[in-house]
Amino acid sequence: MASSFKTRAKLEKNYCGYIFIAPFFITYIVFQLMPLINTFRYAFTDVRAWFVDQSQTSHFVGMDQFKTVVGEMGFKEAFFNTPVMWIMGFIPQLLIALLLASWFTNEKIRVKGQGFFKVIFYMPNIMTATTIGILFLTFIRPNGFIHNICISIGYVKNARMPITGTWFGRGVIAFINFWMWYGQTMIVLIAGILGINPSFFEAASIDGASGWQCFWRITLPLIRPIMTYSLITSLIGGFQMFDVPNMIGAGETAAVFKRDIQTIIMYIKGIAYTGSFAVGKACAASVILFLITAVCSLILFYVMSDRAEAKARRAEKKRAKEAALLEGGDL
Amino acid sequence: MANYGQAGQSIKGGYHARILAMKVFVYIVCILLTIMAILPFVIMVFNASKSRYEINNSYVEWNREITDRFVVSLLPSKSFFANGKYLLTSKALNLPFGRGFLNSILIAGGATLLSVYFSALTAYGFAVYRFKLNKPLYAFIMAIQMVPTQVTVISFVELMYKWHWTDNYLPFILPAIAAPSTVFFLRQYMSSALSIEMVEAGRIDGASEFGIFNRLVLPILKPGMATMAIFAMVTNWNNYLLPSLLLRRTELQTVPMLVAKLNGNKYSTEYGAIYFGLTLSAAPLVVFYLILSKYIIAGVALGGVKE
Amino acid sequence: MNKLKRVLCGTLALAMAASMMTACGDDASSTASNGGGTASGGSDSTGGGASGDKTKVKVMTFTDETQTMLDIFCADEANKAITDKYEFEVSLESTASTYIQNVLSDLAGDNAPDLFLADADYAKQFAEQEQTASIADLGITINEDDYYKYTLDFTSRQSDGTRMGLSHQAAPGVVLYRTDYAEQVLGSKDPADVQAAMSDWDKFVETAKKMQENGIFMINGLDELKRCFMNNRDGAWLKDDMTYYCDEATVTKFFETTKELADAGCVQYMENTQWTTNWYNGMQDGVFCFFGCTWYLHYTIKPNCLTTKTGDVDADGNATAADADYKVGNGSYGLWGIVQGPAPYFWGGTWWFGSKKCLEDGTAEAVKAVIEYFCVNDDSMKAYMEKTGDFPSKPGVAEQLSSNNDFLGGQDHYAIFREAAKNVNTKTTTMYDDTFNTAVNDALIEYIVNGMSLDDAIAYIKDKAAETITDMK
Repeated sequence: MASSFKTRAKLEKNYCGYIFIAPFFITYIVFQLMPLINTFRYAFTDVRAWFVDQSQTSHFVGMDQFKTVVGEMGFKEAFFNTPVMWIMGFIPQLLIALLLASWFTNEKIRVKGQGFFKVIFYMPNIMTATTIGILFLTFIRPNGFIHNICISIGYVKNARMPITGTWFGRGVIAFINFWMWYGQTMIVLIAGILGINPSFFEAASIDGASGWQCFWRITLPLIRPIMTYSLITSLIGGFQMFDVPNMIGAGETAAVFKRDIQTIIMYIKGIAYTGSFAVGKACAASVILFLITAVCSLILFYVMSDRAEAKARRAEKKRAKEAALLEGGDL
Repeated sequence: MANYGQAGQSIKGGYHARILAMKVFVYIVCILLTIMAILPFVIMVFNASKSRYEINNSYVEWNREITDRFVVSLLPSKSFFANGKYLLTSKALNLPFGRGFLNSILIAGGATLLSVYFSALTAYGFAVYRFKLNKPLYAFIMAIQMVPTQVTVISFVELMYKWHWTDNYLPFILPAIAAPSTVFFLRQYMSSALSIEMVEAGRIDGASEFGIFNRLVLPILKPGMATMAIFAMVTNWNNYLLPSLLLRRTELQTVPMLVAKLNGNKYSTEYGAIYFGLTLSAAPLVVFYLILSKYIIAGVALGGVKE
Repeated sequence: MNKLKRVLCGTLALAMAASMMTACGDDASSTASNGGGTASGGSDSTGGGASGDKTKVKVMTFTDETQTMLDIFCADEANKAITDKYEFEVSLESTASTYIQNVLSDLAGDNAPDLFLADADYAKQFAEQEQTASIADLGITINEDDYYKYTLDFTSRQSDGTRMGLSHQAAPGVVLYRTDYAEQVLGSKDPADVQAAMSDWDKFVETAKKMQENGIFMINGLDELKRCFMNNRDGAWLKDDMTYYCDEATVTKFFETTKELADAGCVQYMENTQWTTNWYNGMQDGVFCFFGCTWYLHYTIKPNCLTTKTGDVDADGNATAADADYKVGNGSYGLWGIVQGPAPYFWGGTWWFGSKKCLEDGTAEAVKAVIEYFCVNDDSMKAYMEKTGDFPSKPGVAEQLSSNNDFLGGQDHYAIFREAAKNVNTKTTTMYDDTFNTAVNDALIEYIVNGMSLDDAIAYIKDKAAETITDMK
């Protein structure tokens, strides 16, 4: 259709396209690109928050701020905690989602009430993150429901003592991430599996493949692009984790493991808007966050799709060659 | 449909038993996950009906139940309205939730309208016009979907300070015009829903380019725009970080900010009221979700949401 | 899809309606300072009539006490000239770091507060702001000799000593103790005997162990001794040239004393409990002493030592309902006494500042009236102190006050506070004390709960502070 349009459209109408897309780009440049460029610019100057220094006098300091930031304890903790909590949540998230997706698309099991389960499993995802954060904080607070369980199993000695433990704090955050997101991943994966051409499965079952083999050999490789997409978007979101750990870390209950759930954005916000309001330094940390996210996404993208595909293609070629050789040998 | 199971029907006798066992297992897991998804909300609502005294002594009750009756401390009590009254009228807490809902609707609604309309406009521009930079600019939009937005949050806030845009809703509404993932989704949607012949017909009738978009194209795009509107609404409603940095005056603050204050208010020990506040903030979203769940699930399956 | 469309149209229509409804509210708020706006956010405003033609005075504060004080101001017939013309619009933010950011950024912007308040941790920072008006700018004249000098020094500009803000209170620190436990364990509830049992830190620890043997906790949380130790360091965290200075001997003594108490089972909660639920829990029962001060007495411990309020949810800070609760026998009410404790110190305070904006937008008159009412005028200051039991910033007023405080079993707390106020040392304060305060809290938890070594914990304070105070050397 588009090609037929191309021949018929009057050329002078095409400039209208620029007018149609202009609002998007103007807005993008003003509200996102300019701040992005400023982030990089500020990262190399010792600029302070506007409200403490309205003349915005600043000096070029080169890489100094990057060096300071990288050496800081808070930075190291934040850049350790954030990916760790993300991974702790994402692995079960993907596994459970994959399991559920394979069950829900399995014709033999024919799970009834799928619509209901999907609706329920996805529900936590649309909830306000601050609400979820405070809700779970009230659960782990003394007299909260998780706290009560901890006393009953003897993990906490006293009804008035908070729950302690480095990995407990991270575990709570990871659990919330898992709990909020596995439904979403599941729905995406189901859509992916349902999109696979049924003839693959027919051919496989004619060849006598078991359901398990079908899953490993057909389903998984074919939904890999979708999994890659889920993984990368989740990674980008995970590095920006803020609302839930911020709510839980702000509470009195979390004082003991506050440092263990400090995330990158919490660290950046802290530098920029407390103490001497060092916006420049916060921007240096932001740039590092940007670069790390970009590098990790690219690595994942490469590992998950390109190389695997290339490998598969190479393997196929090799097999074809061998087959050809074999045939040749037969001859 | 994946129907790779059909071939197995005629195999052995133990086969059916195995399928049955599998089925039972699957349902058990699903029911457990259902409980896990709902339980926090159930506890939240039930606790909203308890007095501070009942909550502060819940362990005592909990402990008694282990030997006595198990779920008593989970059951609702009768202070629901007292908690609500305290939360909404207390001068000490000062949490104007009614005003907060209005503010959230204003911000989320404004941002949703702008983002959906202008995304459709942008997508249409890319779909229909063959201008020189069409491909590179569209590739650019695809690429910026991947830029982590929080990276720019500090310099965005600085910009707003410089413009004196604190205590103002524009920083949350205007940037919604540029929503790359919505543009991407609607562009995909157009390739199946929109025919160029129709645009041509509009031109022959003498309609302006803008008129064609508004009167002919928009109605066709409505279902796709509606899906995107739901997600834009939810995302903007839930936004916390930016409003918390830019909105000062209590009467301008949004629901997530007021919820956050339930925690931050160090003078408050009224846990029943806190649960009530959480329930209050969650209830509209649950209703919204249950009404639109069919479309939301379908939207997620289409891959329209990213995060 | 039709149903979806209908629902969405409904939602959008609702959004539009909401935007129209709030549009007028927005206009009013942006023009609030010029007056004439049709009022919005009525719950925030204080004033006699509900008429919308009053000029709004924007107040920013960190404590809900401010609202109570402005209510008192407005209820006084003598201020009718002001309350007829002006209306106070209070915005409260109790998280210190957020509050500082909000005030500083609003001061620099269009929407500056007319009147704003500061805690001791950041009063110095507010005094240094370009947009802060000096008390002379506001037209307030004071006789400096009438004040406890530290309350004035605290908010003087470092460069030229200009007085920027005034306080209505002085906040010398004391130790509040349970008379019933004192009698049970020490054999006497007399302040002199109790003071003897905690006149220095060694005796304090010794007494703590005795209490522990009787099943009584000496202190409630780990941060209980913080203010007392930290005020007695031999220098501020930052020197004038912004070099870091840590009085390691005092910090070490603080950490080790607390650890000794914690290890001996003398601390009820192994966490920082100040301003938390567990702090309030401890005030009701089971803890021998709290390190408190003047405002702490009436604002913190009095309302929180009561137990019969607990069953009742609508305990709204509603004065009439609460008044009846303040009686001996309710919780630990009436079972408290005051002594100086191991060392003199001060804790907090509330300073009032006017902004340069109030000079321009015509609200200076109201700002001046409020500050004078609470911080300058002897009679109204005295009336407020008598009403609340707070301690004034003027020794002259303090002399006139005495109490037969039933909360303290008849002890006159003013006598103790007058003595304590003489010894207040504010040489250890800097404008970044909020940052250091947080760092010390965290380091203490790391040392005692998470098992960090003492040296690391002390180094932690510097590292943590350096993250946000980039000028520090």
